Amino acid sequence: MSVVEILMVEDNPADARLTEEALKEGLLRNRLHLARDGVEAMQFLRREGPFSDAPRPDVVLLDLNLPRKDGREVLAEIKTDPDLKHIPVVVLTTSEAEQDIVKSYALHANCYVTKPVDLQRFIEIVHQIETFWLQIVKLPQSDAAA
Amino acid sequence: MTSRANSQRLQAESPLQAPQACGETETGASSSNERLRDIAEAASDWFWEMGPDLRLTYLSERIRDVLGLGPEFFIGKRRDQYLDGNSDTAGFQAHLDDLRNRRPFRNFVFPIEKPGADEPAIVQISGKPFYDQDGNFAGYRGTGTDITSLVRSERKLERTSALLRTTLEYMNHGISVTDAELNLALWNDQFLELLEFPTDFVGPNGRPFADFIRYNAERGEYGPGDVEEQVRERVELAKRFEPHRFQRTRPDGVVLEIIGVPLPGGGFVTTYTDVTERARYQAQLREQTEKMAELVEDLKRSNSELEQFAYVASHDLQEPLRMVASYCQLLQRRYQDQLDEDANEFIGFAVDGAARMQQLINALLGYSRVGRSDRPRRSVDLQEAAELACRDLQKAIEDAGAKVEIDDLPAVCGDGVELRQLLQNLIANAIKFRADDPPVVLLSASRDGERWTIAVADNGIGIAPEYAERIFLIFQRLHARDAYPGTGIGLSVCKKIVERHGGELRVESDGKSGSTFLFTLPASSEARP
Repeated sequence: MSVVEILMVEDNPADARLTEEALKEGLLRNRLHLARDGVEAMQFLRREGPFSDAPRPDVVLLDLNLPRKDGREVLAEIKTDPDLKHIPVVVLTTSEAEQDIVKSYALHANCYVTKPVDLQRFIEIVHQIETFWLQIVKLPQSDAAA
Repeated sequence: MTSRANSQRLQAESPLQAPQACGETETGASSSNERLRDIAEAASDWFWEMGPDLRLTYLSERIRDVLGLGPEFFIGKRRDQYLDGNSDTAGFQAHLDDLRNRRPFRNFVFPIEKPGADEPAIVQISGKPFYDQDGNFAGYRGTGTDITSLVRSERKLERTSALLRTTLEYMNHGISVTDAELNLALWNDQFLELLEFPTDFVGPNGRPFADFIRYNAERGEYGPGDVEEQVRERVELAKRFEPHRFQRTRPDGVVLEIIGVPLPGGGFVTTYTDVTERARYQAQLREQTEKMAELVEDLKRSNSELEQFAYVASHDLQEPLRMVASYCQLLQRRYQDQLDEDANEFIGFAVDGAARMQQLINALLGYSRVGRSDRPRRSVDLQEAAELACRDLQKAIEDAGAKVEIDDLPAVCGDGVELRQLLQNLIANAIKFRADDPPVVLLSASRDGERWTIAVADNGIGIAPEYAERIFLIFQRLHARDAYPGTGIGLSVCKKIVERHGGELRVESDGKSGSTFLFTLPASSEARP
């Protein structure tokens, strides 16, 4: 089984580390890439600047509240970019606000998940995301999509 | 004075001397006679003569045209014979007295029935006695005129004038009317009083407008400057005859409203009204309105700041808290076997504390979010909302063995998410605070005019009346956390939701056998889609 590439856009290192720990306990061999803000995330996806060798991620885990360019803008840019819009974007955030949920789906988020406070639940959720988006669903091959 | 002398005195001033002269000389030139008659008739409508017995002997034919009665009606009759009904008046008696004493008379006025007319004609006659060559009294000669329309218009004018006088005198406003030359033509005392002019400032024939201006200028009404210059300016301005309306405040604080309306052909009608009370009231009202608006604005701002603060605070608190909780849990998960019992217990407390704080923050966030949504208000079927709420509570309902009955709830206008949350909180509460028996919750509705009252009744532990208010305050709890877990925010959320929908929430309970939560919602809103 090949290594799955996961791009996590998250400005809080503790949060990022927690996701990383959860993924470590997961089933798939994965490589987690971290973008600390929206600008970095877009550079990574478009393989610009220091990210010229970046792999095309299989799934993006996107926080909404980010410095420089926030998650909603990143989401909008991904979903209007013909090269990128097929990449599943999972909004993974602490916000339970109705307007954030509505806005995210309006911008074509693939799904919206609220981070639970309970670690056990969080680990389960990360595994479910992994299983669902990387094992269950059929996605177009990156090359074919491009 | 003899009648003769009297008549002679009259001769000098009356055109009637001519017919008399005719009568006195039979040999007088008839052309001259006719000429004089023509003149006399031109000055009046008809000409008459009576004999020494005071019976009419002659009337010119013209009377037929004027009164509709020909000479034949009058000839041979005395005055009192064709004036029955009108002969009692003092004026008429005086006239008869004149005739009896052979005195000349002028402008005797009396009414006479006119055939086919609703009102009698008013007739004015003048006459003087004449004498034959021997100086014997031969009768009277004179003229008559129909002055009906003149009298009527005079009376009407008098009535109008009296009415105008009375109106001006008794009205609350001062009024002045100036003519095209800007002379004061009509005014009332209130005008002089309100503008503080001396009561004798205007004589019976009025006074030029400029004098009023000069008087004002001299008493400093228009500020410093040359008096004649000020007068000239204002007179020039007034001569434009444009409508004007302004307020003037007298030195003593009385506020006058002055409204001038130009008259056709020049001049003004100007009214002066004491609007001190009104002005004071308006100023007060304006001041109060401004103050109120400021208060409302302050309140709105502080309210919105508070909500914003609660939202931001709870939102931003979540992130670090989640880290505390998660990493404590990760420690527990990864290192439980390597730590001693104390360390595990401490970690356990930290995890619990973090979890509870998380709940509180979530609750606070939920509370601050009520009413912040931009979901449009629409018709919400409360029956359906209650059923959905029960579905969400299915586990709690099953665990408690509870029975929830929903009895035909109405549709109202509102926020569907919030109203469902309201019902869900109330049902959850009813199940949570249960007594020993399995909980039974009954939802029902009743309408009172423009309001629906929704009742959520339970058979639980009830609420002592002294706490009936306190339970709706945020973070207020009546029970130990281990007996009834919760944040103490649920009912505050309910109250906020109901109030934002224009209703009220209260509880009825005797503190023993269950409680009933009642909330009202405007019924009129259900009609709106």
